[in-house]
Amino acid sequence: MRIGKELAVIGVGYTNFGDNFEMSYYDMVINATYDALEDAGITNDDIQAAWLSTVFPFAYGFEGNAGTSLSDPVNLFGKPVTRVGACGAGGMEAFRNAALAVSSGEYDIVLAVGCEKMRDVKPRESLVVNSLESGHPLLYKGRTAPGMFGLIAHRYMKTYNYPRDIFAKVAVKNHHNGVLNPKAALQSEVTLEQVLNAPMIASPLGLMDCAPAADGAAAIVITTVENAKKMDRTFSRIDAISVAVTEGYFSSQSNQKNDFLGFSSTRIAARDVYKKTGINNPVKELDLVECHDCFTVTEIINYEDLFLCDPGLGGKMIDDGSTFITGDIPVNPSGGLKSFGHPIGATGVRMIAEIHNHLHERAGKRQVELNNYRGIAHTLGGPGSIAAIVMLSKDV
Amino acid sequence: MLGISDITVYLPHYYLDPVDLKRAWNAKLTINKSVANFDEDAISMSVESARLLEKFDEANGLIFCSTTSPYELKQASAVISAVLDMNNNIISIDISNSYRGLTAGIIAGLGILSLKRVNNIIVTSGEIFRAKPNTSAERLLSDGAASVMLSYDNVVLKYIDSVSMSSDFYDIWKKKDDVYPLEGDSAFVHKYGFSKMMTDSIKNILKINNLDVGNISKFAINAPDSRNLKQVKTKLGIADKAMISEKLISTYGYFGTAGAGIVLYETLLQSNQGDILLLGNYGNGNCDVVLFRVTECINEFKKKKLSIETFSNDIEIISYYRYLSFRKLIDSCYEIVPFSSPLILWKEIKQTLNLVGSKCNKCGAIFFPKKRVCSECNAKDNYYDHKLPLTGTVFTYTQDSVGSSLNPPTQMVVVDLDGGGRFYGQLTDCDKNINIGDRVEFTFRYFHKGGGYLNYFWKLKPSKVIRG
Repeated sequence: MRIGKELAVIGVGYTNFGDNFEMSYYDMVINATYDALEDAGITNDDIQAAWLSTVFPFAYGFEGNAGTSLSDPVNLFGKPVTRVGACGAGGMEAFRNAALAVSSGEYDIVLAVGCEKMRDVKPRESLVVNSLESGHPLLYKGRTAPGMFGLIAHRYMKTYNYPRDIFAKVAVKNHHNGVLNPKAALQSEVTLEQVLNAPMIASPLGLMDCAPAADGAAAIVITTVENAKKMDRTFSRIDAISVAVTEGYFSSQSNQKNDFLGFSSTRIAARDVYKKTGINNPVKELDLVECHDCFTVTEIINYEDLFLCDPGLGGKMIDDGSTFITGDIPVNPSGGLKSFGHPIGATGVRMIAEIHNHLHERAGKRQVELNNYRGIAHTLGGPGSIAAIVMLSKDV
Repeated sequence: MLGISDITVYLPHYYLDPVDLKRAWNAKLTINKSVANFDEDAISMSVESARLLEKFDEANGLIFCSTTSPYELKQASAVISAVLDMNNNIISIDISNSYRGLTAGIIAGLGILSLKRVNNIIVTSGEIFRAKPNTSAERLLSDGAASVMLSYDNVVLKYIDSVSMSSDFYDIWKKKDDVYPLEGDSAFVHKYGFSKMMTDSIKNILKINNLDVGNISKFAINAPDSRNLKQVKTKLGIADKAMISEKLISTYGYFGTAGAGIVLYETLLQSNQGDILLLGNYGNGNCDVVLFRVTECINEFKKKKLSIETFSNDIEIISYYRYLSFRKLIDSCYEIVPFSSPLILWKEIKQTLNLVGSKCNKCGAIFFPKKRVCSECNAKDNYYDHKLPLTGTVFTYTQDSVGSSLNPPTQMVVVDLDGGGRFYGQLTDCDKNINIGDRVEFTFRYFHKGGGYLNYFWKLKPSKVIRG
């Protein structure tokens, strides 16, 4: 999108991600939202409109099926609150719609929230049942989220002649980063052998190649740069937002043009974001990338789709440490979906908040070195049918 | 010239592991017991055999014979004819309740043909057995299917005559609420059952046609076991080489209604032009004997068909536990019951049962499922129905353990079809590792019982050279 007004992120907040057994959906929405409001130095009364992302509101109830699931817990009564759905990219769609509303001049201060309560049911009951028991009675039956990425992993290994190790190395890196992040779901280092010997889920992907189902919520307050300066808040500038939607939830697998080596949606969105911001060499011009590593293979194909390297060199990038926190271009210093956890509707909002925290050197032990004061967050939805990318920067 | 123009046989992918059975019950499995996969039933296997008939698309009648039809109320023949893409103006009939169904179907079908309203009738039969563990039935019954095409022209077996007999006899039966079949007194059955009735019926037809046993070149007799068959052979003085079915049954077991087709197929392969062939069939006190003359078409038939022995080349051994789990004789996993809707199935019947997708008139792009707006050239509603080719090459794959399956893991494949189009679905009948570049073909399977009825669809399986 071409953003009309200059826009700013002035406050972010997120809960711990993981098995939040002691918290309800509402508890998480309240905690994330009030953290963001406090960070922005405002109250809920100052919010003029809000967008909510929840992907599976119907897994067990109705929480998250409409804007009421945000207005009810945090008293936004009488204000326009919209629920958006864009599968895994939902959080960024909430953020984009909120940003556009400010850009249009209709509102000055808005809120984007993502929340997913996945662990009030057994993990194997929520998503497995959704993908295997719902949907078309016959077409694509047997497809699961890991299975979809197993297809890509086999094709990737065969095409570029990589061993399974390259996927495992992503898990090792992101587990390591997760240990540096107190809010991450997984807090343990793993070895290459542990990852390779984990039970097989969808070949060639094992259990430790998969991001865990998790509970979590994240919230962001958006206003104009002008307003942020007037309010005397530290802010990140929203440089660009791009969303590309391609095939439907299932049809990408039966599209003969799909090479199963990446997602055209990410490539389209990345080209658009780099073009709008004049980025020619993302590895040199960005300080960090948070990308959608729902499975380890996904992070590797994202390297290529985000043009951090040429096609086929994603495996080499993890192999040579380029994407470590200390590397040329840190990818998922937060631990990524792999360690942070993946509460689907919340993830996109959480990633943007992560970029904001790094830009303001608030990322603790996982803080990346800042040279350009600019980073991107990327989510996939559907899976791979939707890609969203947000670029934030800090004025220096 | 009324008769049979084609015969096909379908054997499922597995043999039961005899070592496992020995370990479980200390019982000896002497046959190659064919075991249908978890995603097969009498309907799907009948489809698989009927699809092998060279001119199945020329049939305008279909008779389905089975004692193990998955429906008690709903015509299986209607499902099968829909999968074979036969039009609605056909006659379809189910014959049930007796192992002699296939010959009843043949005799009835020939009768319908002689009314001259239809030209070709498929008589198809499939059986999937759920025998009580550790019984002789478990060690004797094999799953499989066979189809015959009844025609006026180009018959390989010209119909000569038939006799039937019917009696109220208690050798095997199963009431509606019985889990397994019940059996009568074995000595009594041995004396007055199959062997007596078959011997009498054969004597009868020979007498009517002024023939001696010696005039019959080949006896194709579907018997519940080889011991009873041997008795018929001895009583009538039939020569060893005239009775192939004895060895067939002792090697592969008893296929119920499908058995008559399998026995006829194998016997015909060893026949010559001019031979008189006798097809004998029996079930629960009912007996059919049909006489055929082998025509000149036999030479062409023999060139195209392979003996059942050669089918066994790529058959895999299935463990006793998996077999029990396939037949729901043990409770092994959570059964996924997906959403289904008869309205969706009705709307999409051509897509589901006949694999009809779309091909863009403007740019030629192929889509399955069909696309009204072409995602290649943007043309709207400018396409024609395109039936997918039945073979292709694996583009990529995964073995998925997330969901539960009676034969885990679920194997998913993305297949580039020969001549264009891509299909994403399940791979079955493959315990070996599948690889990118492997050849696969469509196979019709039972999917699930969502909606409370049986949902069928197509899967892929590794391509085989061997066909019935």
